[in-house]
Order: sequence, then structure tokens, then C-alpha cells
Amino acid sequence: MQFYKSDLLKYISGSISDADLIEKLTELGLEVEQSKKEKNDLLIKLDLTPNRGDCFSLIGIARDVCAMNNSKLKLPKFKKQKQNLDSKKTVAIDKRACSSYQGQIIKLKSKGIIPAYIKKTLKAADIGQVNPIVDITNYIMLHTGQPLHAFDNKKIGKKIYVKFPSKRTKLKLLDGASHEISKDYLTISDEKKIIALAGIMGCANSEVDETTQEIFLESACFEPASIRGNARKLGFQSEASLRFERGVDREIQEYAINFAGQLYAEIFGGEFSTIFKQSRQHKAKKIMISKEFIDSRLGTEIPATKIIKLLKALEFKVESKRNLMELTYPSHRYDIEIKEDVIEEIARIIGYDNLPNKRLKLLASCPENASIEKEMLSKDIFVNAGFNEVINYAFVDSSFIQMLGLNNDPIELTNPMSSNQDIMRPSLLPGLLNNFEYNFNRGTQRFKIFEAGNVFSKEESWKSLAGLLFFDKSSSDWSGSHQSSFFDLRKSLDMFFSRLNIEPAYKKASINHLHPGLSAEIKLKTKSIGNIGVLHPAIQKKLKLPNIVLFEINLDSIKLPKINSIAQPPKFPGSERDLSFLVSVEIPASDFIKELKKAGGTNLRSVSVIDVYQGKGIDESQKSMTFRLFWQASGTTLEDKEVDLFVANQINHAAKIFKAKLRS
Amino acid sequence: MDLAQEKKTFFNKFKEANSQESLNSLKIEYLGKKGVFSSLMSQLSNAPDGKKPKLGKSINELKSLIEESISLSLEKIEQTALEEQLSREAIDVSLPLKSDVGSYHPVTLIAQEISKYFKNKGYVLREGPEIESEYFNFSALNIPDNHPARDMHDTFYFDDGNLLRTHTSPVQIRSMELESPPLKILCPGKVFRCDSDQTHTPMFHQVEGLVVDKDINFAHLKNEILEFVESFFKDNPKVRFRPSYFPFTEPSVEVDIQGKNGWLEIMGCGMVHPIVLKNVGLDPEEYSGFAFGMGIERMTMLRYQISDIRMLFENDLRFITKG
Repeated sequence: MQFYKSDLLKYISGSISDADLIEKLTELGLEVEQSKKEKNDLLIKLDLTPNRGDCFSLIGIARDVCAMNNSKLKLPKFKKQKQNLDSKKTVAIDKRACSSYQGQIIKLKSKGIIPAYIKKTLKAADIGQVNPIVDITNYIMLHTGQPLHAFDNKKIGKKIYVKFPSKRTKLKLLDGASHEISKDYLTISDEKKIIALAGIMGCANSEVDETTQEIFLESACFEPASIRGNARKLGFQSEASLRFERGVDREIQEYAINFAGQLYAEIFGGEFSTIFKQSRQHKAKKIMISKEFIDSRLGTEIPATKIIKLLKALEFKVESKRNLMELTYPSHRYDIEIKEDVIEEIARIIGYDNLPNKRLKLLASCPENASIEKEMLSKDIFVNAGFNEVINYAFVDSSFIQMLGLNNDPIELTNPMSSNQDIMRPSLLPGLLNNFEYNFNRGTQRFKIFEAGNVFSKEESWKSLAGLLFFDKSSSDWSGSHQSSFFDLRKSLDMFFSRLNIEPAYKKASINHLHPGLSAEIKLKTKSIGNIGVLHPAIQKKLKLPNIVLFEINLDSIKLPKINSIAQPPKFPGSERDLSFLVSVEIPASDFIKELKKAGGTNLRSVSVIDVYQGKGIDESQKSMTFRLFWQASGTTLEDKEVDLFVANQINHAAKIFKAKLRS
Repeated sequence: MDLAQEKKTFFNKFKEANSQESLNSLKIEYLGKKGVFSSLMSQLSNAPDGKKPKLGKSINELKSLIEESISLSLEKIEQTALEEQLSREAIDVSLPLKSDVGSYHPVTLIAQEISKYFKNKGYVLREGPEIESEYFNFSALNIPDNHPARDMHDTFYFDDGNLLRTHTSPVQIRSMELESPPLKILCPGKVFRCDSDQTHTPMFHQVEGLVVDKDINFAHLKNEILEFVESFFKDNPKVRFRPSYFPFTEPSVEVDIQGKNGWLEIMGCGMVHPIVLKNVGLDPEEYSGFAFGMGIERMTMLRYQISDIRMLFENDLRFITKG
């Protein structure tokens, strides 16, 4: 809603400075989106919330300002025009959809010329001039909030029906476009045809123009429920539908038609018929509310007299009944339905800044959400490990996903912003790869980035955590200690798992987007929880990317660590042995270690790999692995003989399981 | 026994002994079990009794002198050797190093700051799905079909009728359905609206607080917001509560703070709408509550003086690592 201050001041007594008015409007909840000084006036643009349909009119806005000012709304009175035009019309309405319909036939005596003040009001509201007949209807709508419609009376019949059509119908509206409407559209019809979509727009078949000599002026109240959404379905919104969807004052129809009568008489000169009326008895809504309830919800002590005065200024009817107030809602406020709505009115007029504040003492104790905690912990760990967090959009390009081979039944958006954001991400990796490309092209040479967030398939969504590692060779410095191999990223992941107190296994696997020899599936017991590896060389080539290492794990499949007891470390000295085995290159170290542990007795504390060798001196199908084993008992010093026994056992076991030979 | 001669002989040898080894062998030669002094002491027993004490004293004095000389010399050599080692091992401590300093995304930093603040006030964190049903995102929150309020949300839909949540408020409903009052929760998360310009991105983050119990009133809400603003905006700006409209709160209020160039909107809040309470089976005569919600990007932009929200999702590492 956009208007000049001078138009608003017609309804307000006393003067008010520009700054004061803007502040008042804002405090009333009528947000001033823009204000602009123009000549001796101020152009104000309000950003109205959808509940305040009544403020799509100057009178409505002025009413609020007056209530806050504690002054009386200045409402000009319009007399009925002399009704001596003998012309007849009958009106029949669907009373559920239309609470009141009033119409008057006006015979225009001359060609009207729109005065400057009307032009100014229309211009402020950004409503273009159409012709003098229509301009007057728009002018009155801006003042009263009542959309009027002028039909060319020669183009319509004697009978006017407000009704829903019996079948789908094609029609041409005033905007020149043809539309097909369903039976849900309330129409204004005569004996033969639809002449307007009620509350939305008139039809071309009854349009007024410069040559129109006699109009049928409609001032009606259509129910919001019968209008709502219908204009939008046709792809537009009209000034009328904007107001009817939010609710037009149920009692302003006659005021508006008389207002119009005066202007048509002034500008055109005219003869007027009687006003043809149909209406349903509208029972104004009432509610009982107590001062105590108001105070209990606002935390206030407001005197009852103040409440009553304030509500009356907003045109509520107030009757005191014992300890309660019986309120009758004003006819222009569709948004007020319950007690809390009344409380809002009181708070709004008093001003929220003037209400008290009180310390909340409530302490509710519910268990913390583990999933949020886990996400935060994961972020902490990776940030501490030197990773930079990124946050990507949750929608990605389906063709990119397909190219990466990540296609796990993605879920498509019906209305994406663009074709490269058409599906919900099934993985965080596309985002990380985009981040890589963006930053690599801008000169970043070292990448340790990660993201935590939801990923989606058609059936479910889960929390994912993914990371990317890449150091460009030219980024290395004199220390030469930075590398970005598979194992460098795995080290970070190992640390993460160890912080979460889990020990998943890395199993060789074939994963579409990863290098088959430099990748692993990450398994927790039998469950796959993610993967890690070097980006597949074929993808590297296609995307012109270097040797990037990536991982992604399903955070939902990991539990937060349980609290363990902390055991006292053994006090007695331990025993260390190194063993070298020759074994097939196919045997993973992790499997070998598992078997060494099995055969090493309960006092075997650790097994580490201190050397792996393949090459000269060893058959191609074999590798040499050297393990360092450490035994320690908790209650006694282990004797060499005991350890020898375990070692012998391990050598036999390894020979049996892996055909491993001890190297001398 | 000619002690003067012994002394002279020793010091001649001592002068020549410049290494640890030669000094040690000198030490053995004179002070060892079969050394010079052992034989001197055995000779002493043959001396006449009257001369013994004086001679003994002289021998001991010479022994001490020799001991001291050798150990002083040894110490000096060790000292020199240490100094040599130290200077050999010295490095250029000023050499620059590339270290990988981790960082949180600025949005995460602000979300965590806000979460931590409210956690300390006894709120517990709750989350909900990003793909929501119409019911949780709209209907349960008193936003019926065709209601003009749905125009405020440009919603992403899926073919099955589900949608990407347009706000974190569905988590209110989910939490109230699962847990009974007293309830004091905070729901951070991603939300989605089809919109993109300098102040809008199709995905952004919100954090929403909800308190429900008996006798919760607007004064409590007001106090909670004022205290938060004081904590978050270190310069303690002026705060304004301005009437607004949200279908799920009544009364509904927008909170502004005074910035350099006028008022800045920071959050929306209000008393939980009785229909919302009824929708989750609570009697609005018995229970009341308040809710507040803010855009984390907006708070991030205010904190770091960022003018274009889209910068936050370009993930330029020169930018997002500086929070």
C-alpha cells in the first residue's frame, strides 16, 4: 500500500511530523518500507502483513493511527444522491460466498475530467489511469478499501446473479487474456453470461470505455474463502483480489457507493437509480475476555478502564458483564477471532516497548539430542585437525552426480531455482569438488576442507560427513613435510574414529568415483559406513582435476562414545619383538595383524608395522612385512620363555592361515 | 720421596693433556688404584713416625691440587664440546612454516555461539528433517491452504507433495508432539526458499527457540530477547519491539536493533498461537508459551559486516576461513 501523507491526514485531526508518522506506523505494525519527500508531501510505502487487509485503505490506516494517538477518526459523510433514474435491476446472491451486494445504475451526463487530486492518489498507489469511470472506482478503493466495479449497463442484462458456475467456462477478462475457470470461481453473471469474476476482475464483455453513458456500479462484500487463491491460480493478483482475499469491511459498501455517487455527480453529473441490495444478515462475532487473562498473557497490570478505552478506539463494542468484557469485533477486522488476537491489539496500541519484562525462571530438563552433539563433535575434531569447514547448498546438479557415478536414486525438486540445482544432494562430495575447483582456479594450493550436513535419497535422509585433501606440489615449502596421499587423509579419519572410540576396518572395494587400487570401504563390524580414496583417474581427466583424496561417512551410523573406565597401566616391564614375514601381496596388513593378535595371548599389548617391502630380492607375488610386537603383563614381569612361546605360536598360525614365512 | 719433583713431572704432563682421553689416563696414572698416589701413600708408611703427619699432609695437598686441576680441565673441555654442539645444532628459528589451521564456517561459528548461549540458559537442542510434509511446515502451524501467509514462503516442492521446510518452526510441532511441558528447546537448522539476491539465498539457516509451560507470558519473552541481544551485540544497542504477523504466534512481534544507519531487523517472535497448542494437544487455557526465531546468516552478516549473503555460500577459502 502506497500513499501520500496528505491523503491520510484527511482522516486525522491535528498535525503530525513526517518522522513521527513513520515511527507511529511502524510501532503499529504497519511497516514503512520506503518514504520519500515529494514537493510538500511525503510518499509512504507500507509493507503490510497478510492479516491487516483493513489497512489496504487510507481510512484503515488512519483508524490505527488515531487509536494510538487517542484521537477521533475524521470520517466525512456522504449523502445519498437523489434517486430519480427509473431503471430496474434485480440482484440474487449466493449468500455463503457473498455477504452483501449493492449496485446502482448511474446515467452519466457529460464526459468527465479527472481532477488532479485523484490523479495524485492513483499515482502514489502505482495504479495507472484507465478512464475517468474506472479511475473513480480505484480512487474510492484506495480510500475505503472497498473495491468497486463499474459495468457498462448497456452490455449487461436486467438480472444480476452472484453465483458459482455450473461448469468450466472460458472467458476473456479486462486484462485482455483468456482464461478457463473452474466451478470454484465465484462469478457475477446476468441472464446469459458471466460478466465478472467476483472480487478478481471484470470481463471484457461488459467493459466500460470513453463512450460509456450508463454504468452499473457494484459495491459488494465477497467472503475471503470464496476468493482466496483463485487469482493466483490464474497467474496474477488484482487490487480487488488482494483486498477481498484478506477481507473487506462488511459494512462499508453503502458508504463507498455514496462516496462514489458524490464523485460521479461532481465529475460527470448524473442521474441515479435506487440502490439494488441483497445481503445476508451478518452476525458480528462476540467474545468474552477478562482483564486477568490479558494480564496473565502479557505479564502486565493494565487498568480495565484503559483496556476498554483502547478497544473502543479500535471500534470494538465493549460491554462489561460481571468480571468479564463482552467484545463485539469491528466489521473491518477479519483477523480477529480469538482472545489472543484481542491481546495483541492491546499490546500493539500500548506499544511493546512500553510493556514490562520479567526474568524467566523455568528450567526444563530434557536429554540433549545426540545427533546434534555428534555433528558438533565431528566439526570440532576436523577443525582441530586443520580442516576448513565449508557449507554448500543442499541441491545439486543431477548430471554432475551421474558423471561421478554417485547416483543412488536421488530425489528431484519439482520447482528448482535452476537446472543445475535440480536434485537434493545424495552426497556431500559434489559440493566439495565444486569448492575445490572454485578455489583452485583462484590460486589456492592446499586443501583440507570438510562439510557436515544432510544428504538425501528417495527413501531417507541422513547426516553425512565428508572431507577433501589435496596439496599442490608447488605448495610444499622448505620443510617438505606436507603430503596429501591416501594415507595422509586416512590419518585424519583414524584420529576421528579414535576420538569417537570406534575402530572401523578399511576394506578394499570398488567404488564408482574412486581409484580402485587407492580406495577403501570403511566398515564398522559388517556395516559399511563410508569410503575413502583417490578420485578416479577417469573423473580426474574429465574434470581436469588433480589427484584429490576424498572421504565420506554416514554420521548416523556412528554412535557417540560410551564412557569407559580408565585402566591403570601395567607397572612391570614389557617385552618387545620384531618379526618379518614374507606373505602374498594380496593379504591386507589389517587381516594379518588380527591373526597375530589372536595367536599372541592376552598380554600382547600392541602390534605395529615398522616396514613393508616389495621388490628386489622378493618374488613379485610376495611382500615383506615387519611387525613390532609388545607384550606386557599387569601383575608380573613376563619371562623371555613365555614370550618365545607366543612368538612361536604366531609364526605357526601365520604359516597356517596366510602361508607366511618368517624372514631371517 | 720428592714431592716437588712429582709435582713438576705432573704439571709437565698435564700441560700436554688437551683431550678428554689424555686427562682421564692422567687421572688413572695419578689417582687410580695403582697410581702414583697409591704408591706415595704406601711409601708414607715407611717414613719415620715424626715426619709422617707433615708428609701426609703434603701428599694430600698435592693430591687435591692434581684432582682439582684435572677435573677443572675436564669440565672446561666438556663445556667447549657442548658449546660446539650447541652452535652446530643452531637453526634459523625464523623460517616460515605452512601450517594448516582449521576453521569453522562463519555461519557455524554464529550458530554455535547462539546455541551455546541458550544452552547455558537451560534450552536443549532439537532438530528435525529438512524435507517436511505440508502438515508440519504449514497446517500444524496455523497456515492453512490458500492463506495469504503462504505467499511469504516461496516453497520448494517435491512430486510427492512434500517440501523443503521454509522455516525451523516444524521442529516446534515435532517436539511438542513428543515431549510434554515444561519445554525449553532451541532448534537450529537449514531452511529453504526459492529466492536469491543480495539478502536472500535459496538455502539459509535459522535458529528457533520455544518455551512452553504454565504462566509463560510476553514479559518473559521480552526479557529473554533483551538479554540475548545484550550478550550477542557487544555494544548493547537499543532494541525495538514492533508488531508483526506470523500465523503461529499471537501476538507476533519483530525485533529491531538500532544500527548506524537506522533500525535493523534481527528476529521475529511472539506468544505461541493457541491453535498451534491445540494442534499438539495442549490446552491453551492451561498452557502458554513463546517462540522466537532468527536467521543465522543475518546475524553472521551483522557480526562480520558482510553485505552480500551469497558470499557465505561461495565457499571462497580466503573468505570463509576468516571468521
